[in-house]
Amino acid sequence: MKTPDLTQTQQWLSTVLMVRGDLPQKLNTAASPHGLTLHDCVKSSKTLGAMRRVDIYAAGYVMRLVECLRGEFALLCQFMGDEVFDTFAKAFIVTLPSESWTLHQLGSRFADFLAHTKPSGDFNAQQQAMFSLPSELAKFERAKALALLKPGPETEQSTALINEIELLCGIAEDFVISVPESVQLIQTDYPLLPLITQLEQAKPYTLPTPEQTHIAISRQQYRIKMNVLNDWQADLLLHLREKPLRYQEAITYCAKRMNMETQLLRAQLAVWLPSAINRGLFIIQK
Amino acid sequence: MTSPIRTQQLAASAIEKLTDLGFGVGLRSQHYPFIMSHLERGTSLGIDWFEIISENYIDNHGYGRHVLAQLKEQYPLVMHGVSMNIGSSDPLNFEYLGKLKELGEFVQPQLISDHLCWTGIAGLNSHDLLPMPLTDESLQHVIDRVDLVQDFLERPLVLENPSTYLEFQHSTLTESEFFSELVTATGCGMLLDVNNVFVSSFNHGFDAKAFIRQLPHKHIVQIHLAGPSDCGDCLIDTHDQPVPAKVWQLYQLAQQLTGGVSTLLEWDANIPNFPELVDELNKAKLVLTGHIPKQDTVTSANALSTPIVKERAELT
Repeated sequence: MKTPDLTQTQQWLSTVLMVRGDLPQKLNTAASPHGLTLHDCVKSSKTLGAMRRVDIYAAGYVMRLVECLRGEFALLCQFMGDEVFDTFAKAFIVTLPSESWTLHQLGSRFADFLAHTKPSGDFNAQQQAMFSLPSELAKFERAKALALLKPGPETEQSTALINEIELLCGIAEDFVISVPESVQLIQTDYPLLPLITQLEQAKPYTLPTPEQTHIAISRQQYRIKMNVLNDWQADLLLHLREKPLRYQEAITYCAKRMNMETQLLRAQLAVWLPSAINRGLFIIQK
Repeated sequence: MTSPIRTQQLAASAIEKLTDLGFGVGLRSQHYPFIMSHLERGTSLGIDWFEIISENYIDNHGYGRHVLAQLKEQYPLVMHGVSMNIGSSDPLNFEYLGKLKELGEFVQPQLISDHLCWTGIAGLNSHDLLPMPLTDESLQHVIDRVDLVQDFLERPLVLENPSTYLEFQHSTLTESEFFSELVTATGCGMLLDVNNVFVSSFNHGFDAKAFIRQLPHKHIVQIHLAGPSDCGDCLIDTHDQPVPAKVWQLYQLAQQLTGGVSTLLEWDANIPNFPELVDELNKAKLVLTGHIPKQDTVTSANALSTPIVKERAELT
């Protein structure tokens, strides 16, 4: 056998680690491109055979990343139970190996993976919820992870403290409203927050009934805030995240998009905005 | 690009100028509340410096970055990475290196280190520190890449010896020979993990003390300490136990041979509270006076190699 070069050696070990199957199947797959066998590649000793040596890496690869997913998707793990969660996590790792140097990206495709692998068919409401909620919870926990990592309002505090009366009096017309990068807006098919609270408190949970919900996850002083938004609030947040606008423009454009009376939106926004700023959803600057 | 010879000279010169930082620990998010309360009060944490895992703070604008901003004002910091993939036959990832350099500009660390290993190929990442085939081809490959990295970062790179569980049949160099050639050719530094020497020597049946004696001592700028797990047929690098006596003996020898370099205790799973961590670190000071702590290697059936040090980003 020809001595493998660096690339061949690394392709071989990478295949042994990452392809689907038990260790003999992995070794079989790894052998195919260059005919490399375990004993061609790895030294054995009396106390530690080549198979065991490779298995330390192969088993460690999967379990290390499963542990990482458990950390990011702790509520989902609690909802599914450790055994079921690990089964899906292992399948995810084998199906979609990490392509990023950072573990911050590891969970980015997990919610989609769960959504694509859920059973389809004619299920009752409870079964439908049990099959749908894992991807919904994963979507929520991924958004929460991003809310904790992205630049937040802590370093870019609002330069204007504003209250409802001042907003209604029109003194903020030219103030600029923006959305910190930390704010994550997700749309879910279920109202998740009561379930999330029950899981966080390790209480018995009740399955929610389907209802389209906008959830904004924000951060204030490095603490997570969860907010259920109505349609115009979600629209305003979405558009201001794309492009900061002056207060007056934000009202005009949002009212137009949502087909609302401008004065009605102005009044509702004046009531909501001060608390939304306090919860890290917006930054307002003179 | 600066000429490789110029880069190598600059790296070697910068490595020579590095000072002994004393005794430090790895910064872990579990300790943030304790650390921040001490920083706010201005009271001593009982250590000299911190090492951070670079990847935990790259693209992290959460509480961890806030802690780092406070910490760097009061303690020397060192950046230790796990994703450079220096030994891979994939092209170097300059997006990663750019972010590493950017973090370096923020942190102003005394040094930036990673591992003599590869973490993935063909664009996939195992997030593990995989062993290199120790061949002339690998050596030249790593030399070329260390030159490029040092030129890009405009500072010397420091590489750590990883724990390994397998050796390749076609390896022709020992790990100490590989390191000696590498540091001579590139001027880079070496981070000597004496726990990894202990683990690898057990797993591959070589003499740990002889290995340390063969290393390029002038290029060793830092020593890592940790506790592994004894799985019966092998040792696994778990970073979840007190440092065993055999590792302390290697530490004592390494400090004698290097003339004294920065000491860092790593503890990444079953993490004790900060004062207990400092107590463990302080044993290193006793070792330097000739007292080796009595501590066996802890036995464990289900040990996981190279635990991930992932930041718990949420402030509770």
